[in-house]
Amino acid sequence: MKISRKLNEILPYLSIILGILIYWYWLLQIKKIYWVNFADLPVKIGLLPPQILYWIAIVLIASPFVIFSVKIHLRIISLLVLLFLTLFSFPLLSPYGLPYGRDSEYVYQSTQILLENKGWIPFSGTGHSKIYNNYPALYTYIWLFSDISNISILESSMWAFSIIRFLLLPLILYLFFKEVLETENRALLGVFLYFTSPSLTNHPHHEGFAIIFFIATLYFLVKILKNNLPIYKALFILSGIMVVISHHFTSYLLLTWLAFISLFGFLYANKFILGILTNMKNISSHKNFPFNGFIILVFVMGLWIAFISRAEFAYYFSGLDEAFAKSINPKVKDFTALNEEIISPKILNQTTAFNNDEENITEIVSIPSPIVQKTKFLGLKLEAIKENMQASFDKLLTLLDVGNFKAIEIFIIILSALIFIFLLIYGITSYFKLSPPVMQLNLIFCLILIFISFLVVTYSKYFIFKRFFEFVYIGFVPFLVLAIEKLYQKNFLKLKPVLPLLLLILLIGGNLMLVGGQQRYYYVSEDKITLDNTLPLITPSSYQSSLWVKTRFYQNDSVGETYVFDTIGAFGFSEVHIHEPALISGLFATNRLTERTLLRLKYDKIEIIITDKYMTKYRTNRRKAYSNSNIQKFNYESWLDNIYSTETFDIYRINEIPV
Amino acid sequence: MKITQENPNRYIFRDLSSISATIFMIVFILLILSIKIIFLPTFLRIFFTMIIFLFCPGFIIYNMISSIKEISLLEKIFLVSISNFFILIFGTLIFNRLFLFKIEKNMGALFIIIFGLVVLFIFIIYKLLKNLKYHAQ
Repeated sequence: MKISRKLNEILPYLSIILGILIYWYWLLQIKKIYWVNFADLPVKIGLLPPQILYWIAIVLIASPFVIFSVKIHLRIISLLVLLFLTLFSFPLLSPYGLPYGRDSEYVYQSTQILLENKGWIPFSGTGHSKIYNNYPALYTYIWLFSDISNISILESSMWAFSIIRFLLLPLILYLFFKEVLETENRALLGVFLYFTSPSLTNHPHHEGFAIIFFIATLYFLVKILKNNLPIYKALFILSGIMVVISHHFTSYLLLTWLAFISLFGFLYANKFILGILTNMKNISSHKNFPFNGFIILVFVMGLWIAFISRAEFAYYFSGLDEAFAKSINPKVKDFTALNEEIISPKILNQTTAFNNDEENITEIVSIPSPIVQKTKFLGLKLEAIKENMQASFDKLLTLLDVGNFKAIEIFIIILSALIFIFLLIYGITSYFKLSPPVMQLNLIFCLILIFISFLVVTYSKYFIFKRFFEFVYIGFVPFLVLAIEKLYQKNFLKLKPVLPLLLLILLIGGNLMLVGGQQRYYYVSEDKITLDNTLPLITPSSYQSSLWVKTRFYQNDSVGETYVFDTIGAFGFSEVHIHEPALISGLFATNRLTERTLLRLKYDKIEIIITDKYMTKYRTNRRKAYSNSNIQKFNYESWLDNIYSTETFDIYRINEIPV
Repeated sequence: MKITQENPNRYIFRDLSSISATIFMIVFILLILSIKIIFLPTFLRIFFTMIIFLFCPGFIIYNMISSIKEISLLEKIFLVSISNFFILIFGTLIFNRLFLFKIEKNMGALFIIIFGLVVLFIFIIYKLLKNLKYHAQ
């Protein structure tokens, strides 16, 4: 008896230590393989140690936490180690100590620009930095970190982000969930569940920085509603302003979120129809809603948009109403046929398919028969929404296919999605009416958000579905926690290991759902690489070549291909234009780069081409590819041999445009 | 801090916040200088940097909110660190845009020291005035 008790006490320690050792072995193996094969890119996936080692390590480390009978201090250690490995995954894994992937590389460039210009200058930089230089919070912090610690900006741009997230994000999540859910155990479980979110990426990016202050703002709001202290009001405003200067999309979402909650404060202030929607109790707490603070935030954001980030605002909001209108309106192919079909519901089902054609909205409005409009218009809309959701669902399934997941991975993803939905529904049905108003409002808002984002999945510009989980989990997690607690108390399925297993599946499923890894799923095969995870394609020589580009072609125009263009563009401070139209629209926001400008830059002004598929893809505006006489390979630089020997990409100077 | 009428001198003896703030500021300056001057392993440099970054000059805020019983210790630490974060980033940006403060090597560390000393000075003056006002009554 005594031995088994001792064993039970030691086992969690053993599990964590063994997990760390396996993880460490796995990590060292990866680094070794990268260093040995740095001249042979992309690194062959078959050479890397099996991914299963990573999952075994994660499961071993997380196990003490998900078993609720384990002592609390051990559960906290388990959670902290798990969070450390997750949040530090980016700098830990980087094999050459270099930032990789679009966001991280341009964060480095922004910090470097700050230092080189001796100050913050909006609209500066190249490529991705042009947009994000309007949001100086992250790279100001990185520069300060680098300056105090005497660590180079290159290293700081990787480590500083992870450090601040590790120190503040779990803490603010814990405090927020503790405020909402009231007990420490629930708050800890809330932190764990938040980190099962499929959109919580860990590479240095502005959204990942802004989310800390996003949650802080909501936390201070909850505190104000409970206890109206001036310190909370001040910090509510400061956190909100911090979000505004950190990231565009996050700030828009924060303001919308606060507006939604403030609406109920307004209703209370006006003694309006209270509790009509949700049977809310204690709505009187909304009398404390910081309207003044909210107005200040709106004012600051308005100023920021008007003077600094107008283009980003235009990018997100131009066409949003149109996309949404298309999502809820049916397609009308043939006007006459539609009228006939409306009368007959049987045929209607076959012909109201959704598509993206622009003319259709006006056609719907101009349906001549008032009788038809009155009786069938809502039905048509519902039908269109149904069709559109089907299309969205199909697109998400296609993404799984594009992600090239193995059967077991798809099985875990689907299983974790089902577990998530089950727990959420169970939590909502059991606790919605009993929960505090803020929890209810957060949930309603998050459900609306996820519904809208699901509706517009088929619009590439508004494909923000995956990104939303980082935010909507704030509203969902409290109900998931309550559901799990209730299941635990009820001894779900009469089997003790069931709940821990469900939690582990949620964790793994959330990690897997990131298409392309993005520094949580770690290395991925070539066909799963995304712009944010170009790990197999970066080498010390690509960094060297970038510096070379910087000294010779500083802020000049060049053309790069696929994943090379970000590295050269960010480190080399070059305006690298990419050939693929889909990527161009994704990279350059709105009217910054018109089609005409793009053509001029791409075909006439460029000085170099960085490519791995030279002359098989690039053609001039006269539809003629470059020949050897048109270009000159930079083969006189001896160290550039490293790049050539990789056969991954080459750099060519353009001598003339072929005619 | 609650002041009792029966023993007015108690206020002066109990209110050590100015002294503790000064000691903290000296410690922070020494930490900054040690990173800059002495060779330290990277881990220690990062560790000290984060202590400086999250608590200097935000520790003065701790002195201000230390007497509020409704806020737990963990919350106080969080409030100090997050408000310090705001102060330094806003401070850097505002001073950089409005004044002659340039983003250069060692300027960040210098900025934190100067900013910390100014805040400390204001805090001590505020405390002195508060004490004088109390005794004048």
